[in-house]
Amino acid sequence: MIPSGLPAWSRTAEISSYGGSTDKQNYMSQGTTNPVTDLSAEEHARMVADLAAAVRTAPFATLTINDQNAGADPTVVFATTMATGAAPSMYDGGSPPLGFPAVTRDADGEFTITMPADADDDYGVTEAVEIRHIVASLCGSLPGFIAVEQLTTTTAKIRVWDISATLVAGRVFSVRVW
Amino acid sequence: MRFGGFCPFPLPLGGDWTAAEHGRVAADVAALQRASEFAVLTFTKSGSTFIVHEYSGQNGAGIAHAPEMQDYGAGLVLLTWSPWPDEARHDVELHPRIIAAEGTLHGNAPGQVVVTPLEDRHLAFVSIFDGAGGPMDGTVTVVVSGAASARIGDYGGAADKTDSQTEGDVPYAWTWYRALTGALGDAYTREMDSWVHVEKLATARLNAGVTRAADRLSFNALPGTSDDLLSMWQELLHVPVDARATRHETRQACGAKFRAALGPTMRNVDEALEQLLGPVFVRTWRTEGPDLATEPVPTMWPGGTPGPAGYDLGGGAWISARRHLVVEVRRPSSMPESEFLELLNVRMFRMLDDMLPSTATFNWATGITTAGGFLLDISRLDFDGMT
Repeated sequence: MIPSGLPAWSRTAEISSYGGSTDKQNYMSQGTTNPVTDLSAEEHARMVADLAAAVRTAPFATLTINDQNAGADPTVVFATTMATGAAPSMYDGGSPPLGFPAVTRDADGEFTITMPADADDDYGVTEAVEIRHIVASLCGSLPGFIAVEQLTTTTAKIRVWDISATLVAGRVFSVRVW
Repeated sequence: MRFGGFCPFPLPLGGDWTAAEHGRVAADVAALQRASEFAVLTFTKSGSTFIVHEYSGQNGAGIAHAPEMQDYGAGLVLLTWSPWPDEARHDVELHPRIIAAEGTLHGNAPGQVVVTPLEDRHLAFVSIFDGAGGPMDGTVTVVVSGAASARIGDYGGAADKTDSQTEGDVPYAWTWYRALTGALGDAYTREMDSWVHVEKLATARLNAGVTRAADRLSFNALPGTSDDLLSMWQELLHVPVDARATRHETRQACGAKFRAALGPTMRNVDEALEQLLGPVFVRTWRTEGPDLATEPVPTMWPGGTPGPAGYDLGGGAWISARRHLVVEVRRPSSMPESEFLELLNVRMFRMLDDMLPSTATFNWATGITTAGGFLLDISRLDFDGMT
C-alpha cells in the first residue's frame, strides 16, 4: 500500500491527501448510527482539514548548533524535530548520520548547512527536500546578529556576528528549516 | 474489508481502525493543530515592491495565499491576512488569530528583523534593521503562530468512545453481499469487475442502510448513544444549550442526566459522573465511618444522633459526613481553567443537585491523596483536596 498524497515536507498537503472531500457525506445523508462507536463524515472532514493545515506549516527540521571548537565543524546538539525522525545523539556537523543535515564551518561565524537531497517517509515514499524557508536565532547570553542566505535548494549559509558587527566564533544558535 | 465501498460513512470503529487508535489520532491532530505555526513566508521588500518567494500557511500553500503587504517606509511592512474558505466546509470562512511572530534576515550582512503581532490578530508588522540599527529593505523569513482551540470532539473523539459491536469487524454491506452471492448461486459470476458484482454491491449497501436504520432507532432510544435525536433529548432532559460544547459533550451530558433518573445509588452516581466529566473524573470519596452504629465526624443530627455540641449549627440544622460526596477530579493540561471550572461548578453542580437527595451535600477537589484534610499553605483552598 502506498499512501495517497506526498510526504509532509512537499508542502502539498490538502484534505484529499487524507481521504477528505467537501462532497463526502454520510451514506444516505444519515447521522451516525451510534456516536459512541462511529466516525461521521463531518468529523472526518474536520480532522483531515486541520491535519492538512498543520502539516503545511510544520518545519522539516529544527537544529541547535554549537560552534565550540574553533577551526572544527560545529556540533549539532539537537536535531529533534526532523519530520523523518530524531537524531539519537549530538553529532559532528561535518559527519552527519544518514538523512540528517550537515553543518560545516567555513570561517569564523560562517557556516553552511546542507540538507539531504531527499528523504523517505514512514512508508518509504521518497520526496525531494527543498529549503523553502529558513530562520535562525542566537542562543546564549551574548548579544549579536544572525542572518541566513539560501545558496541552493538544499544549502544555506548562516552568519553570526557579535554586537559590533564582526563575524564571531564560538556561538550557539538554532535553525529551523521548512 | 473495513473501508471502501462496503463500509460507507459513518465509519464504525473497530477491527482495522479501533476506537483507541482513532482516539490517538484525534488527540494528536488536536495537539498538532494547537501547537503548529500559522504561516511561514519568505519575501523581499524593495521600496514599495514586494516579491514573495515562498509561502506555507494554514490557509494554503503557495504565493496566492500569502498575506497582503503594505509598504510603510524603509524596512517597514504591514502584513494582512484575509479570511479564507474552510477546506472542510466551503460555506464557512476561517480567520487568523495571530499571537506571536518572529523573523530572520537573509543576506551576508548583519541585521535584525522584528515582527510584532497586532491586536487585530490578522495583522503583523515587520521591521527590518541593519547592523547599525537603521531601517533597511531586504529579504526576510517571517514565522507567525496562531491560537487554535482544537478539541478531540471536533474529530469525533470522546472519552467514552468504544469499538462497534455491530459493524466493528465486518461491515453490514459485506455480510449482505455474501448472502446475495450465496443466494444467486453458481450460475452468476463472482468476479468483482462484473455487472453482477455492481448490482450485488448496490443491493448490499441499500440493505446495510436499512440494517443501520434499525440500529439507529435503538441507539437513539437512549440519550447517551443518540445522534439524530440528540436535540430532543437535550430538551426533554433540560440539559442547557452550550454553544461551545461539541456534540459529544452534549451527548455525554444528556447521558449523565438520564442516568440520574435511575436513582442516586453509588454506582449510578459514579457512572453519571464518569460520563459527564470524562477524563476529568478521577474517583469519588465517601465517608462511611468504621461501622454503621458509629457516625463519622462531623455528624450533628438534633433529635436523632446529636453528635458533639460543637457541630450544632442551631435551628435544628444537621450535618452528616455520610451524606457528603467528594468528587476527585484532574484538569487535563489541554483544558483551559475556565472550561474546567465551568464543567465542575456549573454542569456537574447542576447534575448532582438534581441527582442527589436534598439532604446530601457535595463538593469537588483535585489532588486528593487521603480522604479529607488539606495541605496547609500549599493547596489552593476550595480547589485542591485537603489532607
